[in-house]
Amino acid sequence: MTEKHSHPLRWLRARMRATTLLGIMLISASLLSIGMVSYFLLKLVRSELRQEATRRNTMLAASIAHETGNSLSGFIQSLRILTDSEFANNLGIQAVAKAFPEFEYIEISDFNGQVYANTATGSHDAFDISKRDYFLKTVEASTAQVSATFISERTYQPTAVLSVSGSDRIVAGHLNLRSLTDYITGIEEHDYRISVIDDHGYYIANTDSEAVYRRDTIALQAWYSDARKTMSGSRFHTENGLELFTTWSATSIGSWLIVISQPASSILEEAHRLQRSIALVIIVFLIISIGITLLIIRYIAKDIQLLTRHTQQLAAGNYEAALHYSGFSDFNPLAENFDLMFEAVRHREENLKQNERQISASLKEKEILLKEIHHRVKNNLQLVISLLSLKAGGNENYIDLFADSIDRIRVMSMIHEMLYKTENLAELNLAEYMKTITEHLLDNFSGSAQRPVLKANLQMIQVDIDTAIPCGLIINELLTNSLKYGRSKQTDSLQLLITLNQDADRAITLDIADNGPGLPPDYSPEHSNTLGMQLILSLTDQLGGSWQLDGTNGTRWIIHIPDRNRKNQPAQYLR
Amino acid sequence: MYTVRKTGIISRAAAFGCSVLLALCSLLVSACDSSKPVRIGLAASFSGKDYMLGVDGRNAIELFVHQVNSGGGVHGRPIELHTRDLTSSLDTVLPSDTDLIEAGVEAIIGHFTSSEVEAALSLVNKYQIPLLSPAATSESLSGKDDYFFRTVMSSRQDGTVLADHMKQSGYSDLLIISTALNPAYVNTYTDGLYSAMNVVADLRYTAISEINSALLATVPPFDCVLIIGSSIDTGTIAQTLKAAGLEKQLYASGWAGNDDLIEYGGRSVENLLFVHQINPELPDIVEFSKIFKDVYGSDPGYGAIEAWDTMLYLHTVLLARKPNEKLYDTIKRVRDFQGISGHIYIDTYGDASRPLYLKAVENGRIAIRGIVGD
Repeated sequence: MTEKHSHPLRWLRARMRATTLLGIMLISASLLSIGMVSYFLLKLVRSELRQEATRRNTMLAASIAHETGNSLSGFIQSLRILTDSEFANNLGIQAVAKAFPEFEYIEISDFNGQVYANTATGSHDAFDISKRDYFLKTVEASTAQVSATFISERTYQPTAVLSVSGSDRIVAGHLNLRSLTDYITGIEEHDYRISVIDDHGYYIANTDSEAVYRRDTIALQAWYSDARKTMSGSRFHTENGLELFTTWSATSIGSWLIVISQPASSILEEAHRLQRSIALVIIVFLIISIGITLLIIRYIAKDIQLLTRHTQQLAAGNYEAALHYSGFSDFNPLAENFDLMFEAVRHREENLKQNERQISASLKEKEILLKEIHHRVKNNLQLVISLLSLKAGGNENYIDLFADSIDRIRVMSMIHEMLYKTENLAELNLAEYMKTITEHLLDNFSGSAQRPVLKANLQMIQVDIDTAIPCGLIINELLTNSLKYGRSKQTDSLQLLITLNQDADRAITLDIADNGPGLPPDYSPEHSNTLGMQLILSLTDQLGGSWQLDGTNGTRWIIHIPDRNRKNQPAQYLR
Repeated sequence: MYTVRKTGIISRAAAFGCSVLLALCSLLVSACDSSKPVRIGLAASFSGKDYMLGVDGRNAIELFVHQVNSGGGVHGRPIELHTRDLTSSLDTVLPSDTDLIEAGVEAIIGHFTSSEVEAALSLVNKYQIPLLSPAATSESLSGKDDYFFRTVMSSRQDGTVLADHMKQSGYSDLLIISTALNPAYVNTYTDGLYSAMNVVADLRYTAISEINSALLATVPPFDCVLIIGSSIDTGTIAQTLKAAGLEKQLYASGWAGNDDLIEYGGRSVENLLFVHQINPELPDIVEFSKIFKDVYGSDPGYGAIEAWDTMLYLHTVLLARKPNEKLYDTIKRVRDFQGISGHIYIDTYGDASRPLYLKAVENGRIAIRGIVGD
């Protein structure tokens, strides 16, 4: 028989544990797979989104830089017109200023820095710009220059001076950069911020115009030093606790940076959305998986309960309830085995009952037979008694001669009579037996004389027939001797004291005493040649017992019989 | 007996538990406290007509804070700088300072003009917040046991020194042209001059365009001019004077002591004289200028240098501060510090004592002619 068949429930539990473990492993593996796929997918999506943002913002920044550069170039070209002697007068300068209102004012100076024409409100004629940085650079480089930006002391707007040199003059235009802020504000969208940074790190255009007027600077930001080394680039960085994606592109003129900053969260919004969706899918998957697993476990538990109930019915002896199993197919063989087991147990139980009935009938028959035997033995012994009585033929001498034998046979007959009248054919009550013998002997020996006084203290002791017959014969001999020889002239009233006891070792003590004349001092039972005394001693010896005799004050016999597998009975006394 | 012993054990256990809890709490609190930033306010004009001094100072202060925080802060605590733009308007001083105090700053750095300080004084005294100015030099702020401190010296001497020079040069008729927006500072200068010189006119402007040829034509004859204004204003006025044919010996206030004076003044400011508390040739200032230029692309003005000195003073104070000591008490304790302008002493009233230089524009450069008093 296999382990599976010998311990079905243990196998089932193991199978259930394995199934649960497999389920958990399957869920874990699925989650791990989803997690890994999601991780790489998110990484890919993030990378794509960053690349896309980089492309888009770089293109936008480059486009603005290009546009700004073109504008500056246009402004410079307009100033170059004034280097021509034909236009280098107040009329020409006013015309250019009118055409390009972005100029706060335009001034023309000689190479000594002496201004001789300008469009400023309030005349700056004869002003000396010889120490101005833009003038010095233009003179030195002889090419168009864009000055460092500053806040105009007149307009309080961010300003840069564009300057070009002619053959005998320097033309400088003070360009109001407010238009740059207007320009980028027009193209800015809600999720990114465009700024223009000058070559010293100051904002010169920003949708937050206050940052421009405050001369806010990004010079201390870590990414800026890198940005200054390249014409364009991008970087993720943190500013005031906010992660930003910043792209920059430098203008060809002026080396200003067009900076586009966008919260990283807005760039990666799609990735975050995907991340949230994946998280939702994983949660839903987890809930469904756990639900299915719990459902399976519940079904399995239900099936196990069904099978358990079925086995409980088997234990209770109900073999009629059939198992109609319709659960998991995995359990079908087990359920079939349970049915087979039920059928086998039921069949075996029926056979056992049949055998029991047959054995009971047979036993009953044997009991009847045994009783009949006891009855017939008793009848035969009665017949022997009758034959012996008839043999005596009414002759007193013969009667006395056969009386002892008749009594001994009657004692044996009594046992068979008691046995066939009781239910228990193997044992009889020794106390009852002694009482019967005693009463019979007292009836026989009393005659016309005064009936002896009997004091009996008999413990109820069950003994088998092999002990009962010798005991009965011993009692018969002892009582017969007392009744025969216990009467004397001094004691008209014979008193008999009979005690039957069983000690803790189940040894039986029989104590029979009378108040008769006793025995001669030199009397020795071993040397007696009477049949009765020989019977007492030989039967005591047969029972493995011992005896004590006291003949000094009446006669007292104490017979001690050791245990011979007697049943333990609670001590009861028959009085 | 048993009960008593049991109670004793419980008491000891409870006491031990409480001690451990308290120790943990204090450890936690001290850990939090050690990483808690030191909040410092910065209020100055970064926009408007006085923006140059404010922006210059702000750049230096931000650079200082950046360096300190990069180096681990002050005793492990970073400095958290809160800035407010006063927009060159006295009306914004109180709201801005109130805002900073409400933000929990322990001290306010800034107020680069004396008038801004005067406007803020009652507020900082009321809330007992130390105000450390890098550039306010009005004499009206001196000798007061209040919450105002400065790392520059009062301009009280400046007017007297210039008057002495004027007299030594044989000048007697003085034209004063000054801004009307910073009277506290201007008065410090003029107080010493009125008694020493014949002031032919005291023109006060709110916009530079007000000083023009027409106005100047109404002024009685003079042989020297003192211009009290920013470097750009001073340079521009010098050009206006020259354009009006009024080329006289020019004097200026220390306020104008920047390179912008020459840029905007051109050749018209040549030989202009002024007194100033900064010597840009000092090695520490040269070193600082190099660092500043690396970051911001231009040389620091005196506003940046003075602001750096103020931050050095604050840093010295923060380092010397005892646990749970009020910043004001530490400031009162720390009476001197090593600035990039030299060793600077602060008196009982929070006024600095430092060298005063006589400077002049020579060959398109600001040159030091000597130390006043030597």
